[in-house]
Amino acid sequence: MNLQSFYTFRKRFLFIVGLSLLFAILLISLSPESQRENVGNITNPISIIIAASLSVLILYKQKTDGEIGKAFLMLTIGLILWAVAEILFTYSEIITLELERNIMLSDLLWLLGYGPLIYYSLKMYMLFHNYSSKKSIAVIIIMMIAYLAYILPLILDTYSSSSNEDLPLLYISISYLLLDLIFIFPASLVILNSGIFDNKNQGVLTFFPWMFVAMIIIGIADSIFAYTSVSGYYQLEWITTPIYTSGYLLMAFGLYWHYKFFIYK
Amino acid sequence: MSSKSSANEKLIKLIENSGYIYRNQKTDIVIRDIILNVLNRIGKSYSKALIYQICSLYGLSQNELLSNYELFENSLKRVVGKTGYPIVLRIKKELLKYLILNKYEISTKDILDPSFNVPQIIDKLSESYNYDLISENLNNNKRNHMILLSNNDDKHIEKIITSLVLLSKNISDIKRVVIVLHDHFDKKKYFRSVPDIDIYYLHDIISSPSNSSSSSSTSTDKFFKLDNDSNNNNNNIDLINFQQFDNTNFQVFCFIDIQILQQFNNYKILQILEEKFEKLYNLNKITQICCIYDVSDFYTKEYEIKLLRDFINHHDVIIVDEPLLMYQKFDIRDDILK
Repeated sequence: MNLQSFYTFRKRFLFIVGLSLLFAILLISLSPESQRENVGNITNPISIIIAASLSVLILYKQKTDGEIGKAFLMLTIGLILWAVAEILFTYSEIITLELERNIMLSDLLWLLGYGPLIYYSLKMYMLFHNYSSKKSIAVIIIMMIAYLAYILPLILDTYSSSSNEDLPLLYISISYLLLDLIFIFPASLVILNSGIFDNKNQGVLTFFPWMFVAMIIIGIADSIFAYTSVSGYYQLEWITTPIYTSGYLLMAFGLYWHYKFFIYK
Repeated sequence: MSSKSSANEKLIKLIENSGYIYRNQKTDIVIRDIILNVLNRIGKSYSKALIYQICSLYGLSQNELLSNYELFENSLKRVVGKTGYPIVLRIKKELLKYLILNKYEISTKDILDPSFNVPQIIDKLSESYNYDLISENLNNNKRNHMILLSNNDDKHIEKIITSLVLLSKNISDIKRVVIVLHDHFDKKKYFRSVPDIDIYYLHDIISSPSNSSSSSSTSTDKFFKLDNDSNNNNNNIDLINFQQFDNTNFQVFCFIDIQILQQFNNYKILQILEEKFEKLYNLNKITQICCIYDVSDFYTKEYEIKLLRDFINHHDVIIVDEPLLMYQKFDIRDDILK
């Protein structure tokens, strides 16, 4: 592929990404109100299954040798755990019709999935983006502290004022937030370093840090999910589904990009 | 800096067009191995894919990409942007490790200096390899006729002369001669520890031939036989009394500033010298002729390229400094038939 045909491909690819995200968001948002959450609970596992499958394909082609091989092995494990968690969650929501949010096996799988995903994001940061300035590290840390200072009291206040007395659920919800922050930290630095805001330092093949933008989006969805779970506003839970689906789809597109350009076939 | 490097490119082009080839492929091989090693450590598939993508996006061959580090670094930055910086840093680290492990000259200051970049390290490595190659050539060949195209980089000249002199120390009955046509020649700098050396200042002899026969040292007479009738007509100058060097081990160093030569407006003298050297070279068993031409002005003035090529062509080894490179005459028998 020469440079000209690459740019044509990139344009088309970005168009497909935009179209897919728009379609997924509209599909959930424009569904009948009573079905919105169910539609979202179907699009979530489908999108993460696509991402996990691509990750398996990459692992098969790329093998596990080298630092990137190990990082992708961890990513695949993390995505499979999350995919199974999504399937179990959808099963409990749609098939067994559990109306109240309780701690379940899917929570355990989600929490377990963080380990390999954090490894992946830290490894990729160390491999390709380990040149952050002290200023950008300080800015990200301050933003994270500010975010925690806002979200933790909000969740604790909501919990104490709500009828929900499920203390383990509160701990689980807070765990999601804290674990999200661990991978949001390198993800934010990667995004800052990627040249996304600076054309001069942008690489032709690395112009958009797909996986890391996806991680930030999933982190945002987790915060809303934690809030709705603790507050007991289950009717608002559907809001998180288009965000999760967008995050997972972005991951899938990022993995396809990696498969297309960084795997030797 | 850029004018100097373009002038150097011009000089190198001239050498290569005159039928000389650059023998040192080792630096390229080491760099290629280090790049591949660094990329393979990230991942073999990733490494192959990245090289493939760079080559196909910019229409390069893998050999072109990996044998020219600056091209590799620029292409890498274009393809992966800032993501390529850690890869470049790893290459730098590996190169430094290689230099240290192989005991090449590198200072702690350079190692710790973040601005000491990969091309500078490669220059250092290439310089070391070229010294090795030059030493190897000096050790293996008892007959050498080399030309050092210098830019007043005394470090290289001194080192090569020291190697030549050191090698000849064990040879009995060696005659050492220095011919100088350079304003800034300093005997002490180059030949402080060298015993039995005769120095002849060509400038004095050429500008006043009558003086040379009367007031100059007797050694001058011994060395240069000037035709009194000819005066400044250099065509008739018999510069060297050959007979005294027959069956003698012989080592000669010529320090020539091409600019001074141009002032005489006659390169003939140099041509005669080179022809005499060539005859000596073919006569004696141990003959080491090292001509050091100061071509620093080659960068600012257009010299008669044909003449320079003619002088170069008398030599079997050409050494260029800044960067230090060694070229050898392309010999069909050695290079193709073998």
